[in-house]
Amino acid sequence: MRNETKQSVSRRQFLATIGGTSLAMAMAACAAPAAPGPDSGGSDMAAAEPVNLRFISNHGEADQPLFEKVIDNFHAAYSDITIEYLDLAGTEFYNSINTQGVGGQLPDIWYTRTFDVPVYGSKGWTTNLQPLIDRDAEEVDVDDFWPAQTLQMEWKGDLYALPYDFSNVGIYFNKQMFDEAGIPYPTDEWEWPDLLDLALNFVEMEGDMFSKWGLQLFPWNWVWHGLILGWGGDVFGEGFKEILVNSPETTDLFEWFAGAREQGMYPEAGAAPEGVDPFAAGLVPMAFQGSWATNHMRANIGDKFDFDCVALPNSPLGSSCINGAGGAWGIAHNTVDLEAAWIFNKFLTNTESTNILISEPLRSIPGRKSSVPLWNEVAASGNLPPANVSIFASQMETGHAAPYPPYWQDYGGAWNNIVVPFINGSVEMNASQMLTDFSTEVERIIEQNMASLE
Amino acid sequence: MGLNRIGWPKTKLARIEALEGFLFILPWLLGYLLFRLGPLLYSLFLSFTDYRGSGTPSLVGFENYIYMFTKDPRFIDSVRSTAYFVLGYLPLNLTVGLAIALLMNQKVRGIFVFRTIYYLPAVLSGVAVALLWQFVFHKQYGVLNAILNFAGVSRIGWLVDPNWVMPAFILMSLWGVGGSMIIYLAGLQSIPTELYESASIDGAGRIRKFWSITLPMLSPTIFFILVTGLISAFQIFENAYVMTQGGPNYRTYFFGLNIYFTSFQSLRFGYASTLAWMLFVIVAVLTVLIFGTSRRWVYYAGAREES
Repeated sequence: MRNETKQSVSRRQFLATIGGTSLAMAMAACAAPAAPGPDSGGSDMAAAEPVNLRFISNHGEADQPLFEKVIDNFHAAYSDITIEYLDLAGTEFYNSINTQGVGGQLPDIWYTRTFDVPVYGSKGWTTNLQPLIDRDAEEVDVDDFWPAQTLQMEWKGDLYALPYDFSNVGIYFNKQMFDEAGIPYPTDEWEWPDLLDLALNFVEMEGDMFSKWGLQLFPWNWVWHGLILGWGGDVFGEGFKEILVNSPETTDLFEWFAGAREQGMYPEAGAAPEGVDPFAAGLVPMAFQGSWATNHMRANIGDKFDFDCVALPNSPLGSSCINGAGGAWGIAHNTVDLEAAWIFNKFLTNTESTNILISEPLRSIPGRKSSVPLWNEVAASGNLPPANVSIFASQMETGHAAPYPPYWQDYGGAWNNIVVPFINGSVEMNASQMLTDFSTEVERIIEQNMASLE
Repeated sequence: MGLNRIGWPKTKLARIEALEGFLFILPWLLGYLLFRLGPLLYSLFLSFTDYRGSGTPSLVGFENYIYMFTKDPRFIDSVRSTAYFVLGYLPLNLTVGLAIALLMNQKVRGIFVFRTIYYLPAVLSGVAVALLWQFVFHKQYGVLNAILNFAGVSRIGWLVDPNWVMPAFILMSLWGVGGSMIIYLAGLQSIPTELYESASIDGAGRIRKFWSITLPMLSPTIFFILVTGLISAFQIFENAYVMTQGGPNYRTYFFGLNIYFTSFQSLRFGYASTLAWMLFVIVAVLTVLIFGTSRRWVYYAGAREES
């Protein structure tokens, strides 16, 4: 029927609608962002009017219920502040935060690793929390934070974040492999040459290739900073304006590890199977792993063998090789309500919330010392390995405090390209040449970032 | 009546029609202006600034460009690695794609199955494929080294040895050669069979027919694959991002990776824009050069007939 196909809207009306809608959308897109600008400030009394805060974490599905529980508790205590929670997993988190930062649309509170505190602080994306911390000193209780982490949450001497967790590494070991080899377990009092001696007992070869090694080793730069400091070297000069790794001490460190790798202490690049955890698979009796790995280790190993952990060995000089890094929470410079965001940040990082987020589910070391007893208790419950898990918290007391520079991401790129291939043996050069190349590149990075260091 | 060649429509009806025309393209036009042209021009502006994601972009003149050419070793790395990849990838993509297309152009029973099999990898791409290749290229347990080992070749650290990582990437790029194959196949099947029949009558053999009929008739297809391949090769990013992060020793620090790291890790948006515009200029110049030479070697049968 012709009448049925007749248009109910004329072409002109249709076009006018399309044009009007497009213009409206364009105007809406060009409109000012919902969040106020940096000068908007916050109300003095959060309780006076309902406030909506955006909160972003970077933790994954397993942790979301924990955050939701803390947020529920917060809503029960502060009914006039609503938290809109979003978790962004993996590197998508950084893409999102960086984009929001550039666009002036940062969430009110978000996850700022201690690596990131100077990055965000130097850009003015996060608020200087020092005045608020000084005002609420008793409630915040900075003495309950790990001193090393406190230093890493500072930018130009002021605190820019409150702590979530803190991490360091130790040595996990396969008790079954040690028992079968008739070798005594390592203890917390040892040095790297002792570890090498132990490791060499487990090295096996097939033809001209190693098939078993003594240790699973990772080239994480922040962890290796602890090794550099333990060996007597240094990383950054005053105000991060100088790179100090090109020193005889650091050269010794890298030469020592290169020599150990050649003896089979740890696998070179491409030697261990892809997609296999060498420690869980029994290819190595020891693993250089973090305080965060307890749950992961238990799940991966199951009942295949019993394992435990010990402190990270000291350097041949007898110095601690521990350096930490952690998670924290920063507040956006343009938060809709600084006072409300501060109330939430304090709640998020108090002992009770830290217990819920870290100690009860046994994540890494709690950012508050007062949560550590519960963490140790949970770790020891059920007689699950590793029995000596409390060593991680103990190591925090003696660890180095090596803060991170605002050019941390660039530094990481240089480390991955120049230092890591040396550690894993995929380039043929001596340690001195490698450190010269690395220093040259970091000096260039410092020069590029000098404005943010002044 | 529509618009005059230049100027405003003279009649009311023409004006209404013109207005309707503009309204029809308005959604696209707004989208283009807001989301394409706007950011494009803004990035050009940023390339002359020192914008680092906070505050107002401050103009620095040609400082970024001067720095790029005189002081930035990473720019040199990215030009070198990208050029190496393009020079390795393009000839391989052109020749292997053609060779497979010639094979797939045979009248053999079940040829459709083979065509599907050869094209399938081009459909599968991204992170999963990059991870798959990590297993293939594994030094000690990889399939490739196991095969080479039979020929007495000692193990190669494909993705960890600075000397071998680029050959690995070029080899890996053949994974997507099915895309070229399918375009070649379409080109081959559009060549009139009469040409081959005439050549056969004249006594031409297979090789003669290939050089004198197939290649000239296929030259527009080769031209298309060359141009699109060049542009896509310069934009290589995903595999390097997943597998090597630009390493080892910046040997796979491709241009795209350099731009990404400079903008989203270093947050130096001004300099990243400079790099992005440099990439655009390089690709544009090479594309223009290829277009410039195309008159000498690209044969358009239809165009000749028309002229």
